[in-house]
Amino acid sequence: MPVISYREALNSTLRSEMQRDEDVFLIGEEIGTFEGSYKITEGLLEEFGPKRVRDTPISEEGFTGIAIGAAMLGLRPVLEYMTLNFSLLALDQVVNHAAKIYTMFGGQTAVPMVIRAPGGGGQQLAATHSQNLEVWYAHVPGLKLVAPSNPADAKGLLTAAIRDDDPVIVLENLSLYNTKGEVPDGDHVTEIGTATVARQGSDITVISYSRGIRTALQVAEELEEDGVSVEVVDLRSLRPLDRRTFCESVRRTTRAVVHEDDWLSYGIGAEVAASVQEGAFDFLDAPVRRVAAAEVPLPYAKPLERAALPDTDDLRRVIRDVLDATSFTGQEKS
Amino acid sequence: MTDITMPRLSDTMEEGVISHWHKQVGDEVHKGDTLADIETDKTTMELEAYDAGILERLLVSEGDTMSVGEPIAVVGDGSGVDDGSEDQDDEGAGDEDERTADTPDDEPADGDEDERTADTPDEEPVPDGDEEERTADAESEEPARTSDETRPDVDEARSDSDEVESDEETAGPASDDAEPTGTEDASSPPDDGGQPLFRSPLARKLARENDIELRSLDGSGPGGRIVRADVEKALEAGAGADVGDDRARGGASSPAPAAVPEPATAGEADDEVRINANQRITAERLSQMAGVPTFHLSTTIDADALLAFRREVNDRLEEVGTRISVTDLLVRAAAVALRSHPEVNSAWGGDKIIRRGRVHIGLAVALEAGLIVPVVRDADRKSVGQIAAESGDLATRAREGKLEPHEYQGSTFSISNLGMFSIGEFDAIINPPEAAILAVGAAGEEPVLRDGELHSRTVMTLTLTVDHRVLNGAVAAAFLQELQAVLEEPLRIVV
Repeated sequence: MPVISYREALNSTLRSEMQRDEDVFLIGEEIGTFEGSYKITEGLLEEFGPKRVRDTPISEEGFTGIAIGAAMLGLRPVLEYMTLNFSLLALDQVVNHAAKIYTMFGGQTAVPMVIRAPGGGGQQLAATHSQNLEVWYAHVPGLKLVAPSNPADAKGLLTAAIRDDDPVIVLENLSLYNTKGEVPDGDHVTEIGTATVARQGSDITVISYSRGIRTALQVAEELEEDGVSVEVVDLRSLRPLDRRTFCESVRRTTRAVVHEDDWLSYGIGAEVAASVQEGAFDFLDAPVRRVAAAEVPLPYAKPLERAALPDTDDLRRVIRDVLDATSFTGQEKS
Repeated sequence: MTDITMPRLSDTMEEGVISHWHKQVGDEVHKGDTLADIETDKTTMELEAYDAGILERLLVSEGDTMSVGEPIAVVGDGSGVDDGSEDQDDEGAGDEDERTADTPDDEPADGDEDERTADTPDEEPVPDGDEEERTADAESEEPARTSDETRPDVDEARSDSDEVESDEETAGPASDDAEPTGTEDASSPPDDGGQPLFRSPLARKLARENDIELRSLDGSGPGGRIVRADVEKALEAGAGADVGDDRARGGASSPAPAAVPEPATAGEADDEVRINANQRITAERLSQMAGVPTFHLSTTIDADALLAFRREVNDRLEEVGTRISVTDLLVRAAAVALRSHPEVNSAWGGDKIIRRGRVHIGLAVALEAGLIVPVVRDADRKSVGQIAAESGDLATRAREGKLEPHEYQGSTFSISNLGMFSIGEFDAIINPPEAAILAVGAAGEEPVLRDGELHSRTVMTLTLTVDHRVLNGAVAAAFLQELQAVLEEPLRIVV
């Protein structure tokens, strides 16, 4: 399997899906001539022409409405917001229309559209450009929401999203665009609604997604040297949420930590922690703990931004706490 | 089908005891029927039916304590009447799956709820996504079963909830420092016995499976929480079901659970008397006084004038039909004295002293089982006649157990009179958080030397028990002195 970047995986997936299905078209700001703020649509205008790669003015609500209308009429638009933060301007279109049209019209028409947008902090883009708004959308029935953490899932989930008949939001993370990994050749579809065990372990389960998976995997590797076997579950899909996979993992390891870049309160982590309690209560040896960002608008200043976002130290500390709370000796599984 | 739950009969009520079921399974229930007698901390009230139907299940036996809001009975159309014994206490007995399978149809509330819990989160209005449905389906099994597994412990938790609460009460109000991390496992209900038992769900499950008495283990987790490692250690040491045979053969291997109580010999000698909620609360509240620094002040009053005054008043009031007791006069006299000594009409507030704005006098009344202190409100503003009528009514209803909570709560000063039992003098225990209580002894004739001459006078001993945190000796003495003066010049009682 070739090793390519997350960015390249998204670009090549868009290309191959556009080649495969004539109804797929791209719409968004600066995606044509400028090939996207983050170069995800590089070369696509040249290859597919302005009819299928539509540049729009700065008008999120307008072009989101256009995409919804096009989808209702049978096309498969893939819409790009420059950042997820700008999606707030089109919130009514996404939440009140894209998400609800199928049910409110009794299934007479579907909205097979994809919304792609980068989100997350860590790039010194200040408070309004560094948010993790996934929980806003994960909350809404009628939307699907995926958050790939690696290039292979970026390909697999974007492919599945484009082929899905419902509106799917593909949440990309700014800091992942340059990360590399093996990506399967040919047709690669990752089923929406399935989490995966990114790393097997037996002492504690860390549940995370998107950029958080990189943190979790790094900590897992470090702790391995100390005799702690950390299992990492990558949610991949935030709605529908694959509760079964992470509950089964927690049942095996008996300890759980949820890690996310989002703010702590009311977040994905809260949903996961509650689900663990429902699905694995009798298997828990300690309360589920959460690691998340400081509950502040993300600062611009680099050291402050770093301090606000959860990092490997934070995760390691909480894992240690949970292990200590359960009298973990390090040999109990040997 | 409707779940009848333990009602909240007063603002402060947290649990109640089903003292008597008026209806039995299979009985027809009409709106307004009395279903049960509910004993709260101080009183017994009737539980009325709000729904008509057939009483299908009684979930609690007489004498059981339930928290407010917990289901205690089920009323339905009669289809769910379970003629077998509904043994909700078969905790841990048998195989879980079996129990699930056995769960009779009349319990669908639980089953439904489990399924709902499992399904809801995955429900999507767009029914096209196969993968979602599969996820939801696969899950509805798992969490549902887990919920069922946890169900049997509801009883365990329930029967113990009073202990947690009582412990909290004893520990005082200042335990609000729950960490957001939740490492202090507030969710762990106690296992049994007096102290809350902190243990992880996993430790509890392992202990249940291996027949280990959790209370016998030392917890190595935060705050002494028992975790898996502790149970496993005990298992390695040979505790639990695996060695049950050994134990039976007398080969009791090392630290076998020590908590097994001595078999209670159904004896001729000892008899255990179940205490009611009132007695339990009284005991708890009195225990709170154990560490309170108190001192006692006694004085003897010349009661001749008081008794003569009482006779005169009663003679005058004969046609009205009101009879005034010495206690009524004492209530009014204490109220009058308290009005001019507000520092005595106070309460200990933990980190402050609360000076009460109004004067409510509590009157200790002995019941067949326990003690209750009905309150004469605003005694300083009521006439002696009013006080007499009120206290008579309160005492009567107190003995019948029919007082409403507001009638025995909120006193600011209490009086305990054992004069009718010919007790000369005694110390009363403060009714917390009040600052003082007055103990009244019997009036009796005694020789008194006055101006060098011996007289026969009727005297009465008053003893004030005082919380030294609130009052010092001189202040309390001044109050007692004033009370003495008022009682010795009884006209002052009524002006």
